[in-house]
Amino acid sequence: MILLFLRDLRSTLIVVTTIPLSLLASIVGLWLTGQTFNIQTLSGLALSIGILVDEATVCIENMHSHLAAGAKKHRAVFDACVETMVPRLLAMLSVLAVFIPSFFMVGITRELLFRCRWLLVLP
Amino acid sequence: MIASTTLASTMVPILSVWVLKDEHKKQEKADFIDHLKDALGDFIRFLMPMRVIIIPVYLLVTGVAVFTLYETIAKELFPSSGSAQFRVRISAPTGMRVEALEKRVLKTIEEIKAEAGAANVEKTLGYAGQQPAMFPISSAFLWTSGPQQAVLDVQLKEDSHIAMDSFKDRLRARLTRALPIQNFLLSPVTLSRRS
Repeated sequence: MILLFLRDLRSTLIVVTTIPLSLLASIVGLWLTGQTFNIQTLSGLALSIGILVDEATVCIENMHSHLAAGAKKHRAVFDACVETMVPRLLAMLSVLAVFIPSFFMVGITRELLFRCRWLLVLP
Repeated sequence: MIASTTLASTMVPILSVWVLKDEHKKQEKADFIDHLKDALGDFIRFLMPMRVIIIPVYLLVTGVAVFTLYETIAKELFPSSGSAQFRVRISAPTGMRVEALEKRVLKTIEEIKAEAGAANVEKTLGYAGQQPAMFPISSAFLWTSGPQQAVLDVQLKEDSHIAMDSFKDRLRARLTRALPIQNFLLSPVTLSRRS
């Protein structure tokens, strides 16, 4: 989609690079919490792939807007990141807010969703 | 989300400085995406003067919707059968004599009574140790792996109104504290779900 909308292969490459790195971070998180790869953790990872690229996409798109407005590359990158920082943080918190009810779950539901939840939050 | 946000603020700008071209590709004529962006911009510019009205209305509508839906919607992801029965499978270390296991099963019953309230436990039915080979029993309903394993069915009073899910969590923690070297498996007991 980034390739389609921005028509820039380099930007796409940057956004795509964040996917394996984020997944790697979540695997480190798995390792630190003593979890294993199983149907629940893999479901969490699969669900998180879609939202992984959002942050980088917003950032890159804003860089292109600044570059199109005639800014120098370094300035465009800096301004784009500063401008989108708060919106990106709020977007992340909005996504994470979905999991607040899962902290109040009990019994088998809690057991089932516990791993899945962290695998969405970590990457 | 945490890693991707961090990467978008750290790695993406650095890579962008390295990888992106200095000059931006100039676009000759506006395409469909530009029209879409302009239309969205116009729409937001149209809404902005009315934000004093839109924001309170939005908060009111969502507040009412959340309250009404919370009251009416089902809150169980896995609806329980409503049964006040459950089964505890007690696994002591392999090789434990059945006499020693029996004491632990009795202790388990005491702990269940202490957690639920003695008056709320209607009856308990259990079997400790291995069934004799000539004993006419169906393994589908009662199975133990050896003299170290026991099965205990518990019936709470129907009018005790104990929330089973949180009760089982509390009971599991209590039993682990009271009998640390045993494993406890709590499962529902109904006609269709046996373990």
